[in-house]
Parts: sequence; C-alpha cells; structure tokens
Amino acid sequence: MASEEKISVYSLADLKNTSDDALPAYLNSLSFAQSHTLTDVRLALGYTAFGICAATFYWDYTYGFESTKLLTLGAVILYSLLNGALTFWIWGVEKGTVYVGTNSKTGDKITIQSRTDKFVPMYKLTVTTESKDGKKETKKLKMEFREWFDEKGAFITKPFQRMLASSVAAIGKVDPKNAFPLKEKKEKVEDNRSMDEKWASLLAESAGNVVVEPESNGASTSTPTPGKGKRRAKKA
Amino acid sequence: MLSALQNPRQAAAQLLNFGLILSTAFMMWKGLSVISDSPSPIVVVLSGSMEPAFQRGDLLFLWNRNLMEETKVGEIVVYNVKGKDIPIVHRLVRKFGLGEEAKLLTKGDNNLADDTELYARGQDYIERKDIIGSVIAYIPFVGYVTILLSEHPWLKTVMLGLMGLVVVMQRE
Repeated sequence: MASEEKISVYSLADLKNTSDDALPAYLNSLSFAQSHTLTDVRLALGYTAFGICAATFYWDYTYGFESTKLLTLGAVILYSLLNGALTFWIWGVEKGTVYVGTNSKTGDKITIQSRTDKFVPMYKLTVTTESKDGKKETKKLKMEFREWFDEKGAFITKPFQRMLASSVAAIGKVDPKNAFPLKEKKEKVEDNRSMDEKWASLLAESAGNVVVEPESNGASTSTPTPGKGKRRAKKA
Repeated sequence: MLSALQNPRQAAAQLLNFGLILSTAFMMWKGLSVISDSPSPIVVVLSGSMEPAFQRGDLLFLWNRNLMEETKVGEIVVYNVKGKDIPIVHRLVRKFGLGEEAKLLTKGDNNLADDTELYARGQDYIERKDIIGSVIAYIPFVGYVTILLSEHPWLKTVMLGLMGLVVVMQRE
C-alpha cells in the first residue's frame, strides 16, 4: 500500500506518516496481533465530546437559550472535562504510540512510539518489549529516513523491515530472514591499503603503468594490461 | 487520503480532528454565553448609528448579569425587538422605575430621534428582559469579515469547504 505511493521527501510529516503506516502492515504480517485499545479510547472520548456538542446545538436551536441555560452549562463543563481527558490521553498515555501488538507465537508484546524533531529527518522510535514472563525492555532507535526512502520518495520495504528486525530482538525472532547483525556494513570495504598506497596506485594507473593489486581486491580494478591498453580501447 | 479510507480507524480519527475543531469552537461560544448569561456574547456592529463610539465592523463583548447593580442610563446595550431578527446596539437614555419592570428607552448616538420608531408596533419602551447584554469591551474593525461574509454568502461556502478539505487531507 505505502510502497506504491510516492511522497515528498522534504515533507517530514509525509515521511513519518508513511513509516508509521508501514509499521502495522509489517508487524501484522509477522503474526503480531495488533491491539487498538489506545486508539479506541481516544476515538470514544472524542466522539462522546462531539456528541455532547451536537446535542447542545440541537436543544439550543430548538428550545432557545433561556430555557436551556442550565443544561448548556452542564454540557460545557462535561465537554471541557472530556476534552481535557482526551488531551491527557494523547499527551500522557499515547505519547505517539503507533503500534501495540502481541505475537501469537512467542507471546512477546511490543509497543512502538514514534517521534520526529522539527526539520530533522530522523525517525525516532521507542520500542518497549514485554516478554511472556513479564520482563520489560525499552530500546530507543534513531534512524535516518533516507535509509528506506529513495530520492523520488518511494518507500522501500526491505531496508525498513531489516532495520526493525535487526534492532529489535522480539521482531528478529519471528522474522529471521530480515534479522542481520548490525556489522553488515563492513563487508563492503575490504581494502586494507593506506591512503598513500591508494593514491600511488591511482597515479600509476593514470600514467599508464601496470598496477599489481593485492589479492583481496581482484575484480573491481583493472587487470594488468601492457601500456595504454585502456585508453586505446575507449577510443576504438 | 486514499490510504485513510482503507483504514477505518484512521479515517475516523481524521474526521474526529475536523469535528473537534468545530465543536470546540461552538462549545467555547456556549461557555462564553453561559458565563456572560447572554445568548450572544459577541456581536458585530452592522450600522453606523452609534458613531463615533462604534463603527461598522467593530466587535463587541457583552455582559448580561446585574451583579449588585442595575442596568443604568448611559450604558450601551444590545437588545432584541419582537419580530425582528437582528439585535440593535444603542445607548440607554431614559429609565423609569426599577428592576425587571423598569421602562427603558434607547437611542443611537448618531441618530436624531430615539428608538421608539424601531420598536415593535405599539411598543413605546423596552424592558430588562429584551436586553441581551451591555457592552463591556470592543475590538475595532475585526468583525468586518462577518459583514463581508453575510453580504456575500458564497464566501461562507468557500471558506467552510476549504477548511474542511485542509483538515481532512492533512495530518500535520
């Protein structure tokens, strides 16, 4: 769903919302059963308040102000209380929670809160894991959105899932395919030469000399050809 | 927007955001009504009959409680006349009697004659219960928007539509 839509990569809200939406989609596919209690309470509070307002509007409209004064006073007080409770629920209880779910296989319960700071393209997650025996663990993650959005604004599922599975044990357990040790990056560079040596070999290459590479670096560099072989090949 | 429709909870939440903005505005208005005991605690001056005190478009705040004292001559009051929809802002110039039964006469500062002409047919004075509040504060000119809106009703539709769209489409 999210991966087909492209967003503006400069809009922090778009980045966050798309990532937030991708969380339940991914986790629910891993036999996590999502709990909607937080959202449902918020909706119940909000719609009750709205209902009170609608009723007030109705009786004010049909019976006038004077005869319904006391009722209106009660409604105003109740509305402020409900709205206060709603505000407390959003700021004090939900605190940006985007996912609560329990895994049906392992019994782990995870709660994910997401946050971004204004104009900083970093996705901040607070993941609380509660295992079956009640052991709680809180982990804070901080990632750059560019790790799972390409420059055109398309959401790339794989690195996003990999990021979660690799850094949260409870998710990695049920999605071992995506769980990589975080040292992964080191595989790319195996060049052990110092800067000076690289520089020298580059100079030598541009001068047309034959460069003998260390064994480990084989495929990526030029094969030993005599003289100006490379340049000639380009011209031909 | 489309993804919101696929997820009923998210759609409900977004709709709620819009609903809460409207209802909070309404309830604040009602709260002000209850506090000031006036069905319409904020009014906009529509005519120039109170110049130079008030111009067209001034926003007036009303208070309709007689705490320890009565409504006195010299106060600027807003009153309703039977059979007329629009409340009138004029100054209280005569008062006969006391309390609820007192006979009150009003006049616009900028008008030549008093308001007997404006009252309902056969009515020579107004009473305390006709008054919906005395002016206690005002902000010049701010209310002109509402004059524009009532004189060009299509603006209302446009504004409401835009507000609704913005709230529903954005999640910022």
